[in-house]
Amino acid sequence: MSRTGTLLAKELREIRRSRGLLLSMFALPVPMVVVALVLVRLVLHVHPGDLNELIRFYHVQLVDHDPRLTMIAFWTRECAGLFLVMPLFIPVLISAQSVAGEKERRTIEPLLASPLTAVEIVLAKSLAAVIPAMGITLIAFTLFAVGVDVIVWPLLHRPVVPDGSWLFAVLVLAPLLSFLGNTITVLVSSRVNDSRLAQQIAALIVIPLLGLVAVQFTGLVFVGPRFYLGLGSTVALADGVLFAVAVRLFDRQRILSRWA
Amino acid sequence: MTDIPAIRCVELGKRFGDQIALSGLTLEIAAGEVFGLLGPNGAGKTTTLRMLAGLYRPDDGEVWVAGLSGRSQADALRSQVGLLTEQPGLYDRLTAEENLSFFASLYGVPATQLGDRIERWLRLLGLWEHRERRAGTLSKGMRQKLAIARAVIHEPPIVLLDEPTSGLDPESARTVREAIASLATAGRTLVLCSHNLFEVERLCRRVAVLRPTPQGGRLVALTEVSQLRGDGASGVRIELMGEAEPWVAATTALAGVASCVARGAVLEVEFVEGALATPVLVAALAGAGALIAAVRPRQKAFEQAYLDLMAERGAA
Repeated sequence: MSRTGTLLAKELREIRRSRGLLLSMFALPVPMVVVALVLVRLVLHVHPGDLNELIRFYHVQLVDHDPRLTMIAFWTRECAGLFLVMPLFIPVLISAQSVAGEKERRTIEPLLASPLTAVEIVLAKSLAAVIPAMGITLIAFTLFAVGVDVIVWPLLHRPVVPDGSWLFAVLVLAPLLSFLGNTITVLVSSRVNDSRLAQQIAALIVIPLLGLVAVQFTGLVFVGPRFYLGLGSTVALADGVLFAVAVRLFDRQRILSRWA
Repeated sequence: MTDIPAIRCVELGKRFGDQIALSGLTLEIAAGEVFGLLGPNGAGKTTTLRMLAGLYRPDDGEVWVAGLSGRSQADALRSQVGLLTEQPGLYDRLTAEENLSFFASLYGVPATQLGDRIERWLRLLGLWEHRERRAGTLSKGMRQKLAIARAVIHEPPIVLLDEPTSGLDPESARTVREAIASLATAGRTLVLCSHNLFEVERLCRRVAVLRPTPQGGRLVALTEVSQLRGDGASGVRIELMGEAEPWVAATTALAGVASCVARGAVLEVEFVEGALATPVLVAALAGAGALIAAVRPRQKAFEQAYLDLMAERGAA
């Protein structure tokens, strides 16, 4: 096994054995999926006239003569955006523990004294954050998709999700955002000594995405597929640049000499 | 031992911003030597050790470890060195065996040798029975021994030990010292950085003494432990039955005696070099009626020698 693989395996083993971290990793996805499914279920009980008003307010494209199905299709698309908070946020929890946490527990000096290069360390720690985050995201997206399809099956007799935008969100945007959340946390963690502080600073990254979702719910702005394509390209570029910066800033001397 | 030094520092210096941590350190450590690095807090010991370990880049001068430059070959240098950090730095959620396996793999120990290597070191350090325990559940002494095993699991030619018995109870400290002694017998070069003078005296042949100054930590002595203690100095310590003071005048009057001081029942006598042998002095005193209980060569306690050196250099 390569040195990167060895460090990655160690990181994943430590995550599996950290009950607190595992709990915090599932703290966001579980309520998100449950609440989203409950709302889908509630749509079926809303008066069609009220739903038509909502459809007009949000300028929702009609997908069926039944306003309930149109509204559910709209909601599931919005959920895709909302669910992207998961791959962005979960790596923040893991990376903060993985880098700033090593400094806190004083385990980083032997690691830095090993022949590992900065690229190997940053890459292994990044993968150790992105892999579980993507795993949880995929599970959450799948559970939601299955739940929605089970709910609408009696009305539609066909699945609503996943559609093209869902697949793009899960397979393209989620990994890119996951890497972004991780790299920003690695950058912050290499500058601070406290994993909680690293989490708090790095977690600010979710604000723009949440803002985007919130703005859409006001009905004033609607972002379409072109926007998400642009978002994907921008995040991919940012991932590359930030990874290079993180490797450059992951300097042994700086990390050790900045200990309090 | 070979002629090529295991470690060579030439005018080595390190700064952190405006603060000078170390300056002008020049020394050589031979392959297979057990070497002590002494000095108070802030003298630059840990900074020196980190430069030797390839963790810090020198700002001035140069360091070569196992023939590799600390400036330009730090990545390769790190694979030749084992570092015991001041804190054990173990992964608490991993077992003792997993901790060693992880580091051995990082240092490129072949998978086929991994099991044997881990078993050998764990048995040597008395940890084999605890191999499946998570590091976080081990006692302080066991953790330190496991950290030593981690530092040497790749069997490096050079091992750097930073305060290996710091914070340990006497029994644990003793077992850790024994573990270090066993490393030394295998022909490795050991650099021991410690506040514990007893440990340095027991384990090291030569020491470098660093002292903090406004210009950073500086080398104030590079010497053999025996020389610092004053072993073989031209003098003798005579313990008498009764007060020594009445014998000072008679002793000083003897030809070849440079000085004589009484401390309670002890006469501290210094000879003019090569002028008088101890038997002559003893015979003279006994002949004059002095009751001699013991005669010992003049030698300072290592701790006293170290403190004298610090005081002397501080005053200079």
